[in-house]
Amino acid sequence: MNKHLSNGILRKYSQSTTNNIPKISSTLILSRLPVITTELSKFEKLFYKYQEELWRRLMWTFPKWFYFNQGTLAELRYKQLNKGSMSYDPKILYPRGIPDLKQGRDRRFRQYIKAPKPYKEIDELSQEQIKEIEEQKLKNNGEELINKDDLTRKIIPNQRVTKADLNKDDKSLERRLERTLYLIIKVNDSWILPTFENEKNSTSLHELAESGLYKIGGDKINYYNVSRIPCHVKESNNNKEYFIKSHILSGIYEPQDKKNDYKWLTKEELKTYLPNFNEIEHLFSEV
Amino acid sequence: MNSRHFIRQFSQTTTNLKTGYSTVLPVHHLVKVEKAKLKPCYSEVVIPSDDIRSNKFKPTEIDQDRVQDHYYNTLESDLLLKFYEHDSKTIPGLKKREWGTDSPFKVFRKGKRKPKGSAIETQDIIPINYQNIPKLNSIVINSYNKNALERPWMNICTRLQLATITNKKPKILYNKSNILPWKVRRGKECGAKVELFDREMNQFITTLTEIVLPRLRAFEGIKLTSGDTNGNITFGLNADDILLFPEIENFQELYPNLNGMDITFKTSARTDQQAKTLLSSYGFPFYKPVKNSG
Repeated sequence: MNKHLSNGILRKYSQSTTNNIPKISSTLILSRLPVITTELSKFEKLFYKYQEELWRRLMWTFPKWFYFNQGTLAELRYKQLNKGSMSYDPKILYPRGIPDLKQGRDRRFRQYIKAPKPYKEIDELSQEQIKEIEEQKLKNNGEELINKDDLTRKIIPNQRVTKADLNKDDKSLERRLERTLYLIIKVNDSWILPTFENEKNSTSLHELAESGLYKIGGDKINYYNVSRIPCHVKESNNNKEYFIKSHILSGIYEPQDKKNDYKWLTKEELKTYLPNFNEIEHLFSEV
Repeated sequence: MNSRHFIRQFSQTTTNLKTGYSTVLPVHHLVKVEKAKLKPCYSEVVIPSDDIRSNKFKPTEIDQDRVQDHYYNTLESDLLLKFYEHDSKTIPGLKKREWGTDSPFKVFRKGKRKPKGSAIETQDIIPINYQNIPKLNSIVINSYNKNALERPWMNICTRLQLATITNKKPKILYNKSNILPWKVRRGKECGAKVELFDREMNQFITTLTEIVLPRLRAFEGIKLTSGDTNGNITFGLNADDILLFPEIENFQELYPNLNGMDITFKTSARTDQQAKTLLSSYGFPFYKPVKNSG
């Protein structure tokens, strides 16, 4: 009986060595992190504005005497821009309450300081100057002439919406700057996250993912592997699919085989492309 | 002896000579009550300072905090994966020991014996899970000014310097002991310090990693040997480096007496290694100092 049992176990082991070697593959979750801050909702904007105004009321009075020495040209320019508030007169009735004046500032409210600017705002320009700028714009294909070497130029932030967004270019890394993008590729007419099978018995999962990525996407990718530990495993039949998380830092993904299509998509967009999205939904970022 | 009989106590209703006692525990005289605050005219004072009705209220959420957003959107989940170890267990720290009973002198000895191999107790190192991902708690900026010992007015410069950089009122440091060769005397002003939290902390990180540190030519990074073994990392900036802070850079003639400062990152990590990984994810470089041989 005992002999029989041990034989049975032995057979089981021998089976596993011949047929049941699990097929290990490594799936790469390659993401491009958000480049800009998220767009705030209207409520959030109002909340922050309200809180900021409350905070600004507590601000210290600007120490003019510290930054501008008396009798200097700088002080004169400052005085021309910043006219002091009215003095308090007890005979006058103040509808908004008695002013709390200290150092020429009403301490009930925030203080606005005007600093001399090396450029002029649109409302400060004369009509002739505005005409000149518009003529220049027409000559320059509708774009304003900006001398980028000029350090005193007005700082204008870039657009949150890029050209890739306007062209609906799924293959650009410059689309949806406020969201995390994930790489998917098209294999045999179905969209998947890049998966690499362990053919050469690689030593580790992340190395397998790395060599696979360079093979399909070229070596112009500078990426950061978050950890050697996989963040998810999908087991089916005899396959074990390990998910390796990494971020693309710079460079571009160039498909080595021209037939292979690829896309950079956000979490919501992935839903329509990946068939097993519900199983791996938690691996993708909401932002 | 006689006078004692006439002392009336809280637990007694009548003089000491009579029998009988109160069943109510005499708690009322243990609790200090500031009666002034209970008056209706002082009701505003009793409101806690984080309540918007309080006159001490200072708003903290004043704008979008992109450093904090980055931590919650990206770093937190990455650090969890980075520090995750299969089947890891708590590594107990060194704790104080019992004296034992093998000697009659040890039996009634007060207190406990110091831990084996260390003068102080050390923390347990708990495996990282979703509840204890390392996080930056605060930044302490400490500026010790030894020149202020002889010329007390110089401490004003140090306090002003910290206040301009951090937008917070610094606390004054005082000497604790008398060391005459260094002119250190107990109670003398010797510098200032500021502790930054939340938005102010994140603002300071942005200034350091994006404006100040990239422009320091000799700066290689924070030393890898830095750390107090409990997950707090410190590095120093000298007086010349402080000129690069944007608040001071354009008004250099107003700050003739700048002083170097030590910046300590207080993290919730239990080991220095984890704390350094956290800081490097915020964009602080680290380097291995080369030992001088011979």
